Amino acid sequence: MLRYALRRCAVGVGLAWVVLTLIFLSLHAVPGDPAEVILSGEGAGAVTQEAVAQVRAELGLDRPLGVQYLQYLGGVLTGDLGTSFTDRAPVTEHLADRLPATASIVLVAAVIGISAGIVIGSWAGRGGRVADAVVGIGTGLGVSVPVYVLGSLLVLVFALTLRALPAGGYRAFADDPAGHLERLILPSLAVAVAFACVVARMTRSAVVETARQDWVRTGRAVGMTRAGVFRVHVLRNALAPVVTVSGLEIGTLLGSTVLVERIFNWPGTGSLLVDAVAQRDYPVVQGIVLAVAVAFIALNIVVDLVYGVLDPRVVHR
Amino acid sequence: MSSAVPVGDQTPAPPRSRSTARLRRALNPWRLTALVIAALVTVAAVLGPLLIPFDPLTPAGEPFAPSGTGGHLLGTDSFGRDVAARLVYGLRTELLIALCATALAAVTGTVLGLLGGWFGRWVELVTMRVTDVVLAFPTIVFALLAVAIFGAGTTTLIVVLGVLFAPTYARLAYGQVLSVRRAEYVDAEIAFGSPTLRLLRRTVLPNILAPILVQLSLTIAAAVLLESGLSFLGLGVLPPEPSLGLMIADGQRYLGSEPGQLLVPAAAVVLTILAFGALGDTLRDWLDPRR
Amino acid sequence: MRVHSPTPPAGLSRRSLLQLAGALAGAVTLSACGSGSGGTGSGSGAQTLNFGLSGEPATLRPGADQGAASLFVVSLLHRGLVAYDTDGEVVPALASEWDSADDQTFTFTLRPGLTFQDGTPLTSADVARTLEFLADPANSARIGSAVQSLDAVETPDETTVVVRHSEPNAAFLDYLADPSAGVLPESAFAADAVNTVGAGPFRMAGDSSGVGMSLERFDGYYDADAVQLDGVEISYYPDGNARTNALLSGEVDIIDYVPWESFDQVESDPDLTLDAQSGLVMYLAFNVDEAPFGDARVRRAVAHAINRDNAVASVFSGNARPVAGPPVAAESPFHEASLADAWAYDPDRARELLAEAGFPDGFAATLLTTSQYAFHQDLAVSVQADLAAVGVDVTLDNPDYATRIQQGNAGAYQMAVNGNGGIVNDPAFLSDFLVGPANYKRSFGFTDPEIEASLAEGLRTTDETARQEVYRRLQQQIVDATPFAMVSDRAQAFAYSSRVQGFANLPGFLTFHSGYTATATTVA
Repeated sequence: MLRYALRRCAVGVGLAWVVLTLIFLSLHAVPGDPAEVILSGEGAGAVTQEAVAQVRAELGLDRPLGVQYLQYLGGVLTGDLGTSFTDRAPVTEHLADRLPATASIVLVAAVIGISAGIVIGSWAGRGGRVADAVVGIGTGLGVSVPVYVLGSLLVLVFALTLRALPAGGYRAFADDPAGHLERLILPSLAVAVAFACVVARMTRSAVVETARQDWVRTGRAVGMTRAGVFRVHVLRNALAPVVTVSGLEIGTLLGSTVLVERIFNWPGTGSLLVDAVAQRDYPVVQGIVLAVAVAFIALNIVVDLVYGVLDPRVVHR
Repeated sequence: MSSAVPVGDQTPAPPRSRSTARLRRALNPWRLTALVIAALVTVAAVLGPLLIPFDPLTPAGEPFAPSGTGGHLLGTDSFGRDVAARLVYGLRTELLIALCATALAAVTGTVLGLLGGWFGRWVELVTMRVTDVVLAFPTIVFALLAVAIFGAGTTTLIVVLGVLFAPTYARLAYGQVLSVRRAEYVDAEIAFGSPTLRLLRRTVLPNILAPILVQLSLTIAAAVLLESGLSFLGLGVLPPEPSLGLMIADGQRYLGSEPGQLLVPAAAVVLTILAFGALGDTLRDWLDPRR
Repeated sequence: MRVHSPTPPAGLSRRSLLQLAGALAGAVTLSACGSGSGGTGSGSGAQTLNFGLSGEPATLRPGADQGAASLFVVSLLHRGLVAYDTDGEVVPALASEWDSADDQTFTFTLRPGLTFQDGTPLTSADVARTLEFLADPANSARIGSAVQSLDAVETPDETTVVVRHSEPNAAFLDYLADPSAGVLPESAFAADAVNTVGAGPFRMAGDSSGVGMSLERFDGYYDADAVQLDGVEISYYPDGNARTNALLSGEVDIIDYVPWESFDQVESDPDLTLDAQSGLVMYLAFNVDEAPFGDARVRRAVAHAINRDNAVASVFSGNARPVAGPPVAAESPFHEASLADAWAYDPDRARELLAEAGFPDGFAATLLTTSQYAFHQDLAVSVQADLAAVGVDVTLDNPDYATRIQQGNAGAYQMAVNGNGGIVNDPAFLSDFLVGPANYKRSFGFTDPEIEASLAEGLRTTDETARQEVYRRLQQQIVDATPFAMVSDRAQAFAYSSRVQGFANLPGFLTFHSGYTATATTVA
């Protein structure tokens, strides 16, 4: 088990390196010069070639690509992700600012999604034909509504019509915990709906499949109650695939909250990423991609290990 | 698709009567409705342009004409273009993109998984790690960079979606190949000395195809969802070409004053995804004997 | 945690319109007498203006042009020798008075006891240092091209600055009133310095990346007693819908850059005021080095082919005015009514001109726009349909904004959608549209010695009647050469709740300087 975990981690580090190299190279292949972007506002000031060259030198973009790459890689190995082109602040500072915002949406959405999903899914799995049909239709609908449509509708209903919750914005939890949570509800909900539906579907089919197993029938035969069998045997055994799906879903979410962030004006990594690409702020883009990729890879490893614990039939080679 | 294709792991093809019974069970009234919607959506995308007398690109009336006026079934958009025409052509673009992307993903993914699963060793290492890298790359970054390098547009979009969905097929095919490899009929063919390529094509591929075919319609649904999201961010289909995602993005701007501009294309997207998702579920329940 | 408040009525009644007009009039009156009335202080609690800003300002660089959001923040943090009042007139700021007999030598007298926000005294030496920095072409300052004629800055004593130009510069004071010309302390010129310390009415109190910034009143500001606000809490709302929603739901008191689609929605809310001014102009630039567009007849044909009413309706929801002549606004004393419709929509004339130029069947061309801004893209779509009607088959080139800027600077386009303003309302701003090194805002490769001569003469000429004549000639030359195809102006609007009084949108291109009126703003 430990050897397996170590090997997975080693492969994970290799993967992260490949992702980092790809992003570094492709960013430099993107047209659009960071220096020109920095110097070009919306008004009418003239941009001279000397000024562009000067800014390029300040940003270190005048060095050969290989040198830039090695310097960047060296920095990453020592925990230095470089400094942002646009505000000269360390990229790690940007990440420290923005990751918690994204993480809080993902975390709350995951908690809502997993708990609601498991409840709904197990209800559908053992609640008879009607429950199954209702949940089938509901979850089918839930996974089909684009998150930004759902988000816009939530704003329209809860913020603009009922005026029950803010339309968007952000307060740091440390400064204003109530304000933070209040503004967290709608975006988390927008993300959680599809999440819950995916988990519910997975739970339902896992429950249905597990309930067919011989040992469940045995449990009933030896006199356990239906609910007892369900809790002790069915749900616990059905949980493994649910954990997998949830883990992968969380990993995907970390890198794709941008739509929700935009609608709710939430300053997470997604919006920073879109801005950074638009500004050609290479170090920031690289930093976010690296962080998201590492989180995704780590989650995958954790999910695999947890799966092994939950389902002893899995033998790690 | 033919039900004569051998299905799943080592299970031989089920007899026809059991297959129909399973189909009947898979097709509850709800799914039947969804399948009818899928059929209607496809028909609208294919034949719709013949039925609607307006061009999706040319203004044909006042901006935001209400539905029913001037022959505009669903009214007009901010440019005075017929919404129904844009919806139908948009659906066509959407499905075309989704189909092409799905085909691309299925072919590349399956080939990667097939090779990785069959040859093992370094081939497995390379193919499966490539899929891992794609999965670890945040979707949006990938789309942003591809669009920044190659420019937005239908082709870029198809390639982006194709690459993003390929890992699903690679993993699926890989897992299937691992189990098929151990089957006796494969051992027999190897013993007979069949050339590897021929073996893969004639024997292995048909035996791993069923779950891949099931996955197709789920990918179409996912592709429609992702396309609309990318278009919403300005990374998808280029205006003035009609696309549902673009229509939603435009509608979003007028949500306060003209909610129909958002709701109509959004409903179309939801129905399409719903219908193709249900089609996939039906196929899975029908063809996958483990359920 | 939940705040329940009644739903606002949906419709727009005549009464609410009247109330709105009343509120507007009140706002103007208040701001007009605001700075003179002296500080009554903030009687009941702290006055904080919650501002929903359209973007996160870039790291502020001295003198640079960094876009609308940055300029707004700069207008709060910094102050120059002169500034603008609500009517767009140049008024004293750090300089209490100035004197110039010939528009060539300007003598400014600084107010006594000025200090920067870091506590260091502000003297004539700082003014000289700032002006020299702005005039150095290597610094690409926003007003750089307008102060090229700067010869020498002398500082006979701590409160006197004498600025000498090599020739008369009639628009010098207008340019000097730009927020980017704020006087800066020595520390601002260090490499990598962040340009947040100035001599303006508000100082930076806190900055949270991606979220917002807090500004507080600077008590060392020369007119601090008149400033009623204790602080400005700025939150960033890059998405137009989110910004409007924040105002509608009461999350912020005021927003800038109201999306054109939302004007009606905002106006129909009796508690909100929409304060719109004609802002920037939208136009097509041409790459005159590329085959068909070197011919002025082709450029004129394009200008005649554009259906401006359609564009205004579908791109700006009607919240813009067609511009079919040189971009000198109707409000300007230099506006030339006889040329205002020189490029009027006339598809037949367009086809004739194309035929004359040797393209009776039209041609194919690309139009550069950007997917990043919906109105740039929509304008391209609108123009594409118009040009198709006269036989020009247009393909859109639709990269993100960064690529679009680079392509524009490098001339990698045939036609390009542009949205720009001048720095000043004086026609001197036209030089930014017509002369200088290659720049994405200008038609690539376009040079015209006659136009350049007229522009230079306009800046040199100090007699108003003579200037009028020069600029009339210039506008005729522009019509003849058709260096660009004007489409429309566009309304730039702020919107604020009835709590906010005294804030005003400055006219014309000065709309982005409206932060100047924050010194007269109160929050109920």
